Formats: sequence, C-alpha cells, structure tokens
Amino acid sequence: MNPKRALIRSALAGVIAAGLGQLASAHDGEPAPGKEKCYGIAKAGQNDCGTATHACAGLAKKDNAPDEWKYVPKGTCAKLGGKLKPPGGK
Amino acid sequence: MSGAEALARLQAEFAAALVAEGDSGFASRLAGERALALRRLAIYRRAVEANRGGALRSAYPVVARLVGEAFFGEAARRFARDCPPDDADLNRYGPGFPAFLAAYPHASELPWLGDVARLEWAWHEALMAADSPGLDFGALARVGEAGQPRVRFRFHAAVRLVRSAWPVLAIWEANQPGRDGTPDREEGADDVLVWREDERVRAALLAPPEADFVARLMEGASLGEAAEDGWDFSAALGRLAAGGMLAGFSAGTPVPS
Repeated sequence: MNPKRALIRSALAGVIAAGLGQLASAHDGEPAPGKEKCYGIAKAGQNDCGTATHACAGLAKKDNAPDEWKYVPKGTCAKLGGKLKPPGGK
Repeated sequence: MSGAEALARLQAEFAAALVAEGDSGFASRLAGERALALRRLAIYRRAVEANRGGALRSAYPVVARLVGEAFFGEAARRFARDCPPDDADLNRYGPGFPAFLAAYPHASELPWLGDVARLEWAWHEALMAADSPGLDFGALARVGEAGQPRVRFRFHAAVRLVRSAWPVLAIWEANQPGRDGTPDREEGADDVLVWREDERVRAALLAPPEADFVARLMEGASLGEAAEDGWDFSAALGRLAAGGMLAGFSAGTPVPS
C-alpha cells in the first residue's frame, strides 16, 4: 500500500474509533450532563425586536446627517495604529 | 384599479419614501399640513435606519468597536443605501458589509478592517446556521480501503474558514468585552476555522497546511485529492470530526450495508 493510502486509512480509523466511542458513551441522543439545547438566545441584545431603538431613534429631532468627523475611525483601532502587518511585514 | 391594488401601490410608495435619498414627494399623500407630514414620515425613516444600523452592529460588534460609533453609523447608512436588505429577516442583513468596508475610501488606512468583518460574518452565520445531522461513523467504517481515498465529506452548515493576510483572530480577540483592544500578535496571516459546537460558536487558528487541507475538503475534494504527500492530516481530520464539523460523506463506490 502506498504511503498516502496508509495515511488515509489510519486517519479514518482514528476518526471512526473516536466517533463510535463518543456514540457509545452518549445516552440515545440525550444531551450530555450539564448541557441542554437552548436555541436562539445566544447573541445578547438581539431578541428585543428593535422596539427600544424604534421609538428613541425615530423620534429624534434630526436625521443622522453625514459630517466630516463621521468618516474618521475613532475606536480601539487607534491602539493598532500602523503596527499590524501581513506576514513578512510587507 | 382595485382597492387591493391601490393599497399595495400605496404601501410600495411608502416603503420607497422611507429609504429615498431626497424628498420623495410622499408627504403630499399624507393627511394634514406638509411640515407635519414630513416630520411624521421622518420618524419612520429614522426607525428604519436605526433598525438596519442595529442589525449591522449586532452582526459586526468588533468592527463597531474598532472604528467607533460615528464612523460605524455613517458607514452603515451608506451601506444601507448601496446594498439594501434583500431579505425581511434582519439576521441575514449584511453579508456584503465586509466587501463594502474593504472598498470604503474612509477605511483605507485600516486595510485589515474588511477581513475582520469577514470573520465576524462567519461567526454570525455559524451562530444562525441550521443544525446538520451527525456523521454516520458506522457507514464510514464500512467503506472499503479501495474506496477510502474517494471519500468526500459534507460539512456542517455552520462551518466557515476565513483566510486573511492579517492577524484577524488576534484583533477579534483583543476587541471582545473585557479586553482593551491591544492584540497579542501584530503579524498575520491568520487562517481561522469557525464552527458551532454545543450551541456555542468557536474559532481556532489553523497552521497553513491544515488550512489548505480543510479548504480543499470544504471545496469538495476527496480525501485522496486533499491529502498532500507527506503531511499527516490525521489530527486535522480528527479535529473536524470531534467538533461535529463533518455532517456526512459520499464514497466513490457504493457503501456495502
């Protein structure tokens, strides 16, 4: 058997052994202890249907008109400055 | 025109007036004085803008923190104008924001910003993706040795690979709540695997050969095609399987049952 085939065979054997082992230790699809299925609450602030911003933003006196200062990034990117580099410092 | 058609047309005009750049003329269709009608219409216009901006902010919290509130708000406003949502679900609004930021002239001094946004969208999609079935390990065990190199895996719908020339994962981590925005690394390139496991989104930095291997598998390559001679991908494949990232497979030959 060529080395590549041997590698594929052993890698799959590892995956299968680990996978079947995992299944054997699980109780028929029940969540593991300490874990429960819990959908749709994972992201904070996303479940309010926008009602809070609705009233406040809509009732503001002025439109959010563009100004020059809105084009200047002023967040934590200041901490990054020009320090960040792709590999090799290009 | 029937009543239903007239109503549909009125609603379409109202919707257009909510996002129109200048005066749409719609105020003349509203009851009361013109000045009052314009103010009333503006309430709806600002609500639409705020909801779209809020949806982008929730999908791109790190970008928002990186550039600050004013910059983000203005970029979101322009993005909404250039790329209006094509889906009523605001959770699916903003896949084009990374490309928009990469081309946004005011962000040209932040060449990594678009890639950070790509990572955030991958995270967002991983969170929202449907569940996928688990891999049938028994069926995989029945694939004969001759068929093994022809095995092609299907990935869980939540798996994403983000490849960047910049240290995007370090930037992302540095801008999580509780961190001050200073990344641990200043040099890329970061290849980031994003997936969902136990109802949580996770991310891992991959070394280049592993990233190449995973990218090839995700593009649909068979194991034989994806395997680089000499590089032992056992651990990489084990990571994918253990993380529930493999949802199924097809083999070149029928799987005996």
